[in-house]
Amino acid sequence: MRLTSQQIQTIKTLVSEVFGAEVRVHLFGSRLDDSKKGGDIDLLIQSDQVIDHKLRKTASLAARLQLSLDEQKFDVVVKDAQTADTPFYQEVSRTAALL
Amino acid sequence: MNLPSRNYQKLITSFEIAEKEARHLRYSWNQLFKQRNVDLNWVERLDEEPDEAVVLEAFVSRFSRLQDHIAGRLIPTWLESLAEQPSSQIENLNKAEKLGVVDSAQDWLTAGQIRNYLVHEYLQDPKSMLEALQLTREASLSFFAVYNALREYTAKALPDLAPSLPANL
Repeated sequence: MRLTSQQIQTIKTLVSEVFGAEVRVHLFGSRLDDSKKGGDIDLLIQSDQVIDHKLRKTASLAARLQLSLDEQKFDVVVKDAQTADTPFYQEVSRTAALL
Repeated sequence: MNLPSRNYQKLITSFEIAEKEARHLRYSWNQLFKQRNVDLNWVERLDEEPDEAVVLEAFVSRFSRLQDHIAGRLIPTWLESLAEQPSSQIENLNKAEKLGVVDSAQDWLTAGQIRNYLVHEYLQDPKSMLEALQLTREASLSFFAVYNALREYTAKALPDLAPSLPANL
């Protein structure tokens, strides 16, 4: 996983501030591959509850991450109790690493 | 009055472009939010109503254009004209926030994320689409406020330029 422990801590803190403490945050995508360089930071937020104002929270989290972690590019996807379990999420869940 | 130097001409041009873009965004904003009832039902019908989708398209495109221009050109040129060193977009936004022309760099970046959603996840999920539209409705007004604040700051800091600047929004 190509994230420093400080980056992981910042991500977890901001996710909890925006979405609350009960969601889980996972890393997926190219940052899991140690042989690659750079690239977007892809995050999956998961909750067993229904999340209100999902889009506002997702966008706000990405903006806060940009401000705190020197404008890296973030792609945040949220899967809550209402999200359909599409092949996209199945693939992401299969490979994602819990932070 | 001295003629504006070349550097200032770049700033004036950048203001002129922003003012045109903002007026056109306001037109699309009115078309969308004043002349229509943008609710879940409207969003759900978009797929079968290409004329309505064109109205949405114009709004999203103009929203993106104005935001890109303000953050990518107007603010950097404005900082240069104040003898500030322009830097990365986030640094520039933070500086603009400190100087009082942008209310919140975080809200500005959030609006950019919402725009990405509208562009890339087009009509995927009507509920989120509606939420995105409600957020861009507010964000458009904040863009106009940033333009006005930049204009006012410039007219005070560089009074010789004031007569050459386009109108307030």
